[in-house]
Amino acid sequence: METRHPSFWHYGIVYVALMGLAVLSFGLSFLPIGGWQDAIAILIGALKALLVAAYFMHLVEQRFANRLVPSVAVALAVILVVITTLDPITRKTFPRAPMPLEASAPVGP
Amino acid sequence: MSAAAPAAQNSPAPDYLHDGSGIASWLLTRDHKRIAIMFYVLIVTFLFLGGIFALVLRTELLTPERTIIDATTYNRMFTMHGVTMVWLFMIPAIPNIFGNFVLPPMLGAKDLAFPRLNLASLYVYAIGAIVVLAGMVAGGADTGWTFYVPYSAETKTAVAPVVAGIFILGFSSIFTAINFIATVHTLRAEGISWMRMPLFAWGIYATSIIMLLATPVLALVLVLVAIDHLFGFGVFNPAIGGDPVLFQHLFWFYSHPAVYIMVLPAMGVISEVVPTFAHRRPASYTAIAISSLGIAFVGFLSWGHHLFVAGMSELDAGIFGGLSMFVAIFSAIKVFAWTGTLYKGSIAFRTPLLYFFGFLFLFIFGGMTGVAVATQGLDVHWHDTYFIVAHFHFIMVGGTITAFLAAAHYWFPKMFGRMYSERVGLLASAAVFIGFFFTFFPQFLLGNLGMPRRYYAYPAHFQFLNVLSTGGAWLLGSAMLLALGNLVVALKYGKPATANPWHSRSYEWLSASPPITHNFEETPVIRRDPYCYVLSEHESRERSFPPSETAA
Amino acid sequence: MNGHRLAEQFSTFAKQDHAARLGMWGFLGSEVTLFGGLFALYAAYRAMYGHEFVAAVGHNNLAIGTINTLILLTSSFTVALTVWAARAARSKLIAPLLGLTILLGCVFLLLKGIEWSQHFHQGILPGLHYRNREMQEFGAKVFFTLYFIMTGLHAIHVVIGIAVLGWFAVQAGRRLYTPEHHVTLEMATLYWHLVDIVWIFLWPAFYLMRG
Ligand SMILES: [Cu+2]
Repeated sequence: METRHPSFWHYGIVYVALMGLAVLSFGLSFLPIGGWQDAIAILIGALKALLVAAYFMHLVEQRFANRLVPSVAVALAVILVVITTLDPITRKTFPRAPMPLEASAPVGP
Repeated sequence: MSAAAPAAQNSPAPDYLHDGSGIASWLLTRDHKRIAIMFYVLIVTFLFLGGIFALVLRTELLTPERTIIDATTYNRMFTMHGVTMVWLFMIPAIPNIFGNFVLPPMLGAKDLAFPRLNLASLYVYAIGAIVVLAGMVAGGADTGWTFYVPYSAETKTAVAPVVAGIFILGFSSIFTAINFIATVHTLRAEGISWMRMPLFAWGIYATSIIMLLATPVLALVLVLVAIDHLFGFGVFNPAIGGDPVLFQHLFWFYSHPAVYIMVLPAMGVISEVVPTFAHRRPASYTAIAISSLGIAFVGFLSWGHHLFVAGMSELDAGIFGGLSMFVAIFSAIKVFAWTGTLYKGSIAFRTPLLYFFGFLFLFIFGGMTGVAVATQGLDVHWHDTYFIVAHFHFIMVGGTITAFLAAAHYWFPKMFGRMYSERVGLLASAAVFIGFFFTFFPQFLLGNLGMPRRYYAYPAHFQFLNVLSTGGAWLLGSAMLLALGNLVVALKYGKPATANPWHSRSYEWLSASPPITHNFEETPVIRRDPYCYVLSEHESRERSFPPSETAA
Repeated sequence: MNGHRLAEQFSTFAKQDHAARLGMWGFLGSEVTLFGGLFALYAAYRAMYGHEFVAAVGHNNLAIGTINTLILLTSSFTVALTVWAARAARSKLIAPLLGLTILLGCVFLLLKGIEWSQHFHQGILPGLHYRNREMQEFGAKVFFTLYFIMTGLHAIHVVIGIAVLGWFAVQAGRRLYTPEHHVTLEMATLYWHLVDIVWIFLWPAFYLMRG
């Protein structure tokens, strides 16, 4: 583990990049592009998280095992999000979402 | 302590049971072996508590209508049976008792990586158990161990303390998992590469990954239920647009992998017992080791088979049905590897091996019915019937109990330095199997005939099979008492055990029986694998300690 | 010495530090799946109530959310610098940097509290307590219930993080951290970074995604 440690300026550059990405994400959220915004916001978020993990949390200089553990956790979290969300999106027989009582059953006088 | 020191200078170091006495030397210990023993006492206590609940339930079901308890008590009783058996017994049983005790010596280590965290895990477990018990005393929940919303949010029974207790128990699981993972990565003795780890260590490692990454989701979903129950913050409440199916997604994201938290350590025990008593290298070490990781991974992707009739989408049902069947492939690999190990081995018919045969039958039968219920069309027929109850009792309870008892006998000489009565052990093993079979096999038939699970009363024509099942349960209960009574008697009256009574080659048997506090007199440097039955016992020992010192 | 003791089960400090880091990363992994479960709920409900979620996101205070994002990113930077300071043998800087991080965390919580009280005044409360008259749809109710649960759980993590960093600031005053031995400090900063990363995703979920 005799890698050279990052200097103050390394941290500074990452910080500036993070702030820049945040401002960028903020600005792009005003574009009238509908659902694409979600993708952009999530992508920029992922990039920022990656920067924090890699440089502020020093994951780049860690051993393989230390990188593996959070990677598996992130992969599982993504799987959980994706498959769970896929359920309401692809429901055919059953309603996508619970319906208000008035809509699903006739209410007496 | 200081008074004893001069006398101890020339005699060998005391074993862990005699290294310090008094209650504080136990309660404040950091020795993984003493912590394992304390877990042993607690967990076996809860096994009997859960067993008593089970016997009350089965006795109630002797007759179609009321036998001994009323319907509400019955509902609370099966909830408490499930909660006790799942979280107080099966989840912690093998990892926290046997994993704790034998993992460090199996890796040639002096202790786990974080001994204080290990002790904390014990206390957190005890606190969680007390809170759960308090909930039971306060009336107990009547939701079933799955706490399905919206009922769990609405019922007036004591859901909150039971849920809180399980939440606390989750931290114990996470602490232990972190400890085991770090230990496997950093404390393997020189010469124990990954592919030279005993297979039990692989099982424990794979289990730890699941415990670490699945338990938080259980904790989350329990908190969501509790705050809904207590404060009406109902994120799953249909009255404000919440979808209870999403509760089931999150609940089973933990609770399906939880089956592998129970069964992977059990498979690990079996993978040790079979080579030892067949006196032969496993048919494929790599297949057994890697399939543990495969099961852990695929196990994370198959939670949705519990939702086939819950209103989940057709696509998700298809995905989950297919992925669930993959688990059977990895399990079958293990089954073939174990049976292949027996082939042409020189088999010693001891109690642990007899438990293996019971395990094998229950596991294959439970596994094959598992593939059947992973088929959506069949599951619609069997869902929420006794078929499911029989299926999961065969595979996870049968698997865990037989492996737990196999481990209890297999490592008994190592843990306590004494031998149990082999005759009584064999007898109890056969009785456990027969009792188990007669308890749950009739339930397959009942379920297939359409008897729903969790029902208090049933039509009279189901009575014969129910009586059979209840009789089996009483036999099973007595057999468990006999098995554990045999071990308890041996604690005091058993013949002293040698360091390696089974002539195993696995590393934990290199220590004395019982081991000293730091497990080994000298630090092992391993120049062989843990299943080298081609080498003599003496030779394998010589290749386990630095030659300069053993030659002297 | 200064608390850096080699435990008897380890043969070297390198192994002991590796175990400590691996244990910490394991714990962070468990936090990831914890919040993963909540984001799964968010995503699934957004799939059910797309339009109502969009409207509800638009209702939230974008200015406060964005300022809080910049604050947490800055706090991540200051706390990362403590490790740099320990490695560069400038341990005098550690306590002030931790103090600055804690200050930023407190400002974050203050703004969060202001935002919550704005919601309360509008009758926006979690679950069955929801009283707002303008947004009456299921989607809005579920959205704000999730909002309170997710930002609430995150805020609890911020509070714990502040407490942990506070303890380390006291320790740092006694100059415990050297270029060789600072693994415990490093672990505390890892926790704070995780809190930041969670917010990196909460921000778009509750303030930005109005599309
Ligand atoms: Cu399952």
